[in-house]
Amino acid sequence: MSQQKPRKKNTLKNALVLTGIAFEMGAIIFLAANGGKWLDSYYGNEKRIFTAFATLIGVAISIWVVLRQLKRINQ
Amino acid sequence: MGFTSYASDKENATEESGKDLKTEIKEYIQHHLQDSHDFSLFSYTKENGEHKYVGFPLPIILWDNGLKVFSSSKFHHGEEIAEVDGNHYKLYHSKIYKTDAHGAINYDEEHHPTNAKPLDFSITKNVVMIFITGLLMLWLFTSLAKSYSKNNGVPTGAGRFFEPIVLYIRDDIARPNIGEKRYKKYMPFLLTIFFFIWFLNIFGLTPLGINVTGNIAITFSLAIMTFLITNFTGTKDYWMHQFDPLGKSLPWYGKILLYIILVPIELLGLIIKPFSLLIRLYANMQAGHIVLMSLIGLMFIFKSWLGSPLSFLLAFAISLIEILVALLQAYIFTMLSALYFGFASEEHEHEHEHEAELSH
Repeated sequence: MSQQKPRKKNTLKNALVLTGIAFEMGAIIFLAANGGKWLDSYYGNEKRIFTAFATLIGVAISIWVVLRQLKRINQ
Repeated sequence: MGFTSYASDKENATEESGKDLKTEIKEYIQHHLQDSHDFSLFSYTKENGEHKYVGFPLPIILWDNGLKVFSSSKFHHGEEIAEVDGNHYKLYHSKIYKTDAHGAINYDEEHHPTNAKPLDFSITKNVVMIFITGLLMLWLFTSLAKSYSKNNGVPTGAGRFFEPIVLYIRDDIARPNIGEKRYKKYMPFLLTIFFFIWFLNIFGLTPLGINVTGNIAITFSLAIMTFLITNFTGTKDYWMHQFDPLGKSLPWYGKILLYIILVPIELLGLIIKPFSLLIRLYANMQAGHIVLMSLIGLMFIFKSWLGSPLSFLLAFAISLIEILVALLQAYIFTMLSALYFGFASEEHEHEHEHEAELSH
């Protein structure tokens, strides 16, 4: 990564990296939601409160992961 | 894909009036997307109702209490039961099941067959195409390499076409992403994977219409290779980044709480990166084949002077786009592999960046 790159190539590369982030977000949210589902079935909750909160936490984590990668790209 | 499917779709459509035309086209597309145990080019039905297949059989290799090798012609395209050494096998939805002499298939509640499935190592249509592509690449690039020594380093013939592509992968994909010091180590893999995917994509668009890169097992194995190479060539800095992503910016007692979430996510990222590679290639190629075949199938549903030429034109336009997609997907796979190798082989520069950041 030491080479100086022309600007255009760099944006293309960044666009490609960003296409992969969607999968990462999806996977994190999916796993969080599944974890919440498991907790709900474990404690026998009827209102599925864990699923809701775990999913929200998953969304928050995934957004944070995206921001972290954006920071790296912007460097 | 065009011509074969055109011809055989037509035959299939007029074949049985008992089945709905739409479901028939759907089934035909489903069948095309799957791997098959024989290399059939197209099929038609004779006037007396007999199915005629044009193509050739392929060897079936099964492991079922011993090695069983026989020709796929024994199945007669799934219409008959193959008997080998006293065992009976039936081809059902492109998979081989062990049955009794009458070919009875038992189902569970969800209508999935419960029959025993022998381990299948058959040379299927996709495997044949992989062999052909491999041999083609071997022949093409060795003869290309030889032509350089013959002509004093001047490319001739196919070399004029392939030399710029090879140079492009070296200078615009490998060098900037991996770095001047270590890019040479990864070049063979990047070149191989690029041409392999590209050639297979293009083969999928020929009238042979073989959907190899749209097969998730194949994209899976390609992604596994990228995954293994990335992690086995990973430097100390790379692994530090996985297990200690914040580095020196936080004291250790500040990290503990964060790392309970952060480290699993970093490790998850290791798997998700190649996973997104495999899904991207698989989904793009699969979708391309489905869209193209659906548009061709539309012709037989419209059956009018206006609708059919229109869907033909649309199919033609999509084919042109698919040629671009074939190249683009090969490029993206190579590019992202190179990027991951770049992450794996990053050294020191990263630390310097951090130091510079801190001193501000």
